[in-house]
Amino acid sequence: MEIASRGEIIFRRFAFVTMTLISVGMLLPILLMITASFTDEKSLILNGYRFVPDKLSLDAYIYMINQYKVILRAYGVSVLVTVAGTLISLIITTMLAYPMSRRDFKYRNVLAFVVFFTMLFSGGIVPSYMLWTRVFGVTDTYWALILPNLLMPAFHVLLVRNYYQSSIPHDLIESAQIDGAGEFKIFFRIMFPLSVPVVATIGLFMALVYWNDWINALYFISKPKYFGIQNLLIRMMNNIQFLRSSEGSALIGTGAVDLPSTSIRMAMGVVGLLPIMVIFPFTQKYLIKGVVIGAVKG
Amino acid sequence: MRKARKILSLCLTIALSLSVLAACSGNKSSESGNSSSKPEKVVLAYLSFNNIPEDLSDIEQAINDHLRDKINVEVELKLYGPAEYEQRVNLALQSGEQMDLFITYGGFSGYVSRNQLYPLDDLIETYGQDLLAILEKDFGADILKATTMNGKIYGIPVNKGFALPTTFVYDADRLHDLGFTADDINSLEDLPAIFETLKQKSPEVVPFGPINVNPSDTYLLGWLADVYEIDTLTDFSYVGVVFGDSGKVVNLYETEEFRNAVNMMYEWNQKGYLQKDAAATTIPMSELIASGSGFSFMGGYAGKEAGKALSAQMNKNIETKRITEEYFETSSVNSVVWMMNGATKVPEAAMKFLNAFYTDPFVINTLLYGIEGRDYVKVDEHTVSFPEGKTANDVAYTAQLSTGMIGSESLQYQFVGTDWSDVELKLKENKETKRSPYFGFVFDMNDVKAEMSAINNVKNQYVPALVSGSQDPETVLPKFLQALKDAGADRVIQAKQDQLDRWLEQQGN
Amino acid sequence: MYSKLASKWSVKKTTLSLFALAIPGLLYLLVNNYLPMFGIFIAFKDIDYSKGLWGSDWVGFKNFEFLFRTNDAFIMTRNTLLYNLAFIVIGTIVSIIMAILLYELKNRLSTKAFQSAILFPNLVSMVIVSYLVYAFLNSDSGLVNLSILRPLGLEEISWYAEPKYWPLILLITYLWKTAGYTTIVYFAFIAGIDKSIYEAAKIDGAGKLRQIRSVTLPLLKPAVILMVLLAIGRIFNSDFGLFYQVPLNSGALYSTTQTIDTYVYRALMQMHDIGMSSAAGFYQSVVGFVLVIAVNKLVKKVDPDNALF
Repeated sequence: MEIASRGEIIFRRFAFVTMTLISVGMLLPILLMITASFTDEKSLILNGYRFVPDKLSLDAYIYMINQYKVILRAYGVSVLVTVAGTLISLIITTMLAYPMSRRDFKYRNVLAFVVFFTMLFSGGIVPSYMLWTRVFGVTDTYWALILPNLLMPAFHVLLVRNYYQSSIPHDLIESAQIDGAGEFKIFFRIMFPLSVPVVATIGLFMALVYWNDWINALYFISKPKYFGIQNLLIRMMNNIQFLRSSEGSALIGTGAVDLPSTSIRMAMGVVGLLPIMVIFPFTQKYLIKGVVIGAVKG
Repeated sequence: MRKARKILSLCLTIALSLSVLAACSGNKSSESGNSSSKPEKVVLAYLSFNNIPEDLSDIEQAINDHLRDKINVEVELKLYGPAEYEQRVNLALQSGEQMDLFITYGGFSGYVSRNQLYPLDDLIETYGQDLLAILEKDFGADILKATTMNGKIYGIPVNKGFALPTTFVYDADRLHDLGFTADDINSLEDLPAIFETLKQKSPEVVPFGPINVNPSDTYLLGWLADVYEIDTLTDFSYVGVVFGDSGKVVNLYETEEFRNAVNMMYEWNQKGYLQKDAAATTIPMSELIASGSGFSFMGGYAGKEAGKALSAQMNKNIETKRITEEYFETSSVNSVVWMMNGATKVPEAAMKFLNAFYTDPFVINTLLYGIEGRDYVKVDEHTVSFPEGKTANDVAYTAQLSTGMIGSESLQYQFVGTDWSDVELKLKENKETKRSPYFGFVFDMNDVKAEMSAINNVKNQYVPALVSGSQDPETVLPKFLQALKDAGADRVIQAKQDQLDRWLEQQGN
Repeated sequence: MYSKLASKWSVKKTTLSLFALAIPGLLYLLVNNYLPMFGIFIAFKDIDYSKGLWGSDWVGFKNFEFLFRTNDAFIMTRNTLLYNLAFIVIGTIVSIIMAILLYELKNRLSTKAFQSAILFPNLVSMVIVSYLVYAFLNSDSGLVNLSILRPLGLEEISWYAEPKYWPLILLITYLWKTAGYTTIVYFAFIAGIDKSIYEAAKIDGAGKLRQIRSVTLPLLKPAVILMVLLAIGRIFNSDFGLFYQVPLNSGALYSTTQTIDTYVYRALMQMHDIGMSSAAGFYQSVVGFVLVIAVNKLVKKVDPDNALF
């Protein structure tokens, strides 16, 4: 990078200040979530939420520690599903996107349409459920957590296609063809490695999709063995909401229900975020690296 | 584009044939009439408010070992948390998985009108005599009228204490501090004096609030129904109810009684007896009381011992006082109902199991409390507790909060702290409570589905604000009534009137 | 002659092997997306389980009636459309600005930190978001009333009973939660732009703003068109969590928070009628589909290179 002009330096400072403000603004609510998880339950209800809690309490985390077996296992499930799902998804996505990017491929628009159409229409949950459970028998398996999401944000396919089209010169492919390389070879040896920037981004997004997914577990999983971390959270929240509704109180008759407190709920939220807070900086490294490769290459 | 269409249609053809294949393989029904000695498998889905255990096989095994020789039936249990239960059951029914016995809260007539249920009359005749006997003993022979539609029995109500008179629930220590006693509370009209004193003495405490939130509900409608002997005709939208024995279906929200009640709530709210945004709060009153900043709410409770459980839950000295008499209508009885899947392949076996489910104390208590010695210990004839040093969170299995959904309450063990006399009181009230002349009438909303969904939406929009007094009825009520009219309230009322008249005619025969 | 044949063969071979690459993805879409689409017929059936799903009676458009039953039909359609338009326009502008700022930092460490910061909200589940919004806004103990309005001597606001504030609240919540994600998509595209183009522009004497206007934005166009088209396809859908959980299902707010999805959910909560819910989904899909085809046609006319298909 050569010497930056005065104007550029000013612009860079401006960008830095603005992004700092935006980032702080975006993190404040998360900070509030963290402080709430450390706040005494009674003072939460009485005094409301504060950035500086007026009465600290570790109750929520003590509750979590007592549940460590459940939570660790849920982490394990989430990690396994996230890693496996992301990898499979990336391979399928790029393989599908590459032919679509080739201007000399006759059916590229057909493929694009076939992909795009899935984003507009869906048959509803019942037919999907029947298909996955009765034809493929995914109930209570890890497949139930992986399969339904593989190409779910189908627009990732279009993102990769656009990247191939706009950022990788067609000459590269032509010269490889002249060298006698087949399409598979071109894809795996040239296109896939060159698409690292966009693959890194999409891999990150896919990982988020898998990490944050709870709906599939709600449909397909009833054995606690397969509960991921989001699923624990959502089940807890759903049950609380249900118990507070009139249906809940009518069903329960008499009995004391031990509802997890607000601070426990917030702590669960923190527990769900924690691994990403830890892992994110590392994945970022690859993301940035990829981006740099992509940018330098030209 | 034309080519695209061609290829698309090709894909679709392949897809169609595949899905047809899939559907066929799913429908392959094996005739189940084999009378071999192999026990038939029945799938039962129930729900628990406690932790869902890893593994139910020990519970299944205990029940199956007990039942196998008696009725040659084996059960497979599915246990779901409350929030997912209904969805799981519906997905199973819609997709044709085996799911023979399941429960509903308030959805009974919907299952009937969608033709999802198996008629039970003949099965009960053959396999359900014990079941009939215990229902008759605990409630009365007419209980199955509440689950009869189109002349057929489609479900069995959970057999428990059904009388849920409106009950005032309050922080007893605070009440005594204010210089009042339970004797000062006999009706809703007695409350403002107490609230006013509380406001003077501890202005930071909220005197009254919703029992349920999201949507907020102060139980005002339940109170109205008790006081004016209102029959909702099994539809909790309250659009189309009958007062007493008038036989005339009216819109509750258009009545003087409703207007007076919501005016009173508005007055309460204006005086600061409720939170300003009680209509949108996410914190039910019980949690405010637990945190020390709330005083009271009302709800419908069976028996007189609810205060004990509530005290344990809120960690306060909670007492309850009844302020109305119960009035039995169909939905008092048929809101929690066990039903049999219309597509079941094992109706006889399912009925045999259902019979045991209501009449066999071992089955009932194993489902509720798990395995004796491991999950619970007996304290006396009727009472159990967790084993020494264990709680609901660390026994291997307990569904101890599901007492309102499993079999017959009169055969359940009580959890320590609840007195057996309370069960006897509930059974007595089952027999003695005044019954609506339309007891047994079930409204079939199939013809007015679109109207009902629109009405429920309108109700959600206006009723929480009205029953919590957060908005002035003077301005809101007319809008609400107009919106109900637009949503088709008149057609619903007419449909109910027609069905009720027809039902009355049939009863006359 | 010979060489012509050979080249024809090689074209065919290329086509075949390209097609082969696409097969895993196509098979997956067929199973996961296309097969279940046949379920759409349910929208036109009065489901009677004794006859089975397919065997139930056809009822034409009767299942669609409940969508248009009341005045709410207008309100919910208006809300869904206006919110989505606001989300598309404002969301796109904000994300592009943030992506450009991120790129122009030219500092690896701070880019990394900011990326993490803005992406975090995306990881918070909507249920937790609703608790956070409640923490800020509830009228008795919320942060805004207690720590901002009260010290300033302003009148406290009963947020959950005042529909007029909610378009803004929901827009901010939406941007907070999703802007980071789209920013990173755009950032990845900007990072993929050939650096030498900027160098050339610089040599031509273009300042930073000029570079952005004449290099970054035009090269971002395909990405923007793609993202906007996608958003338009879902213009009749709404994030259920955002419109149902965040306003806490408060009836007083329906006039500005009711969308088609929340209406359908509320209507069907008690009914469990898959005919009616399929009808609602079908309606949303068809409208989205028609709009996308129309917009794509328009794009094709103006800028054929960037049309989606």
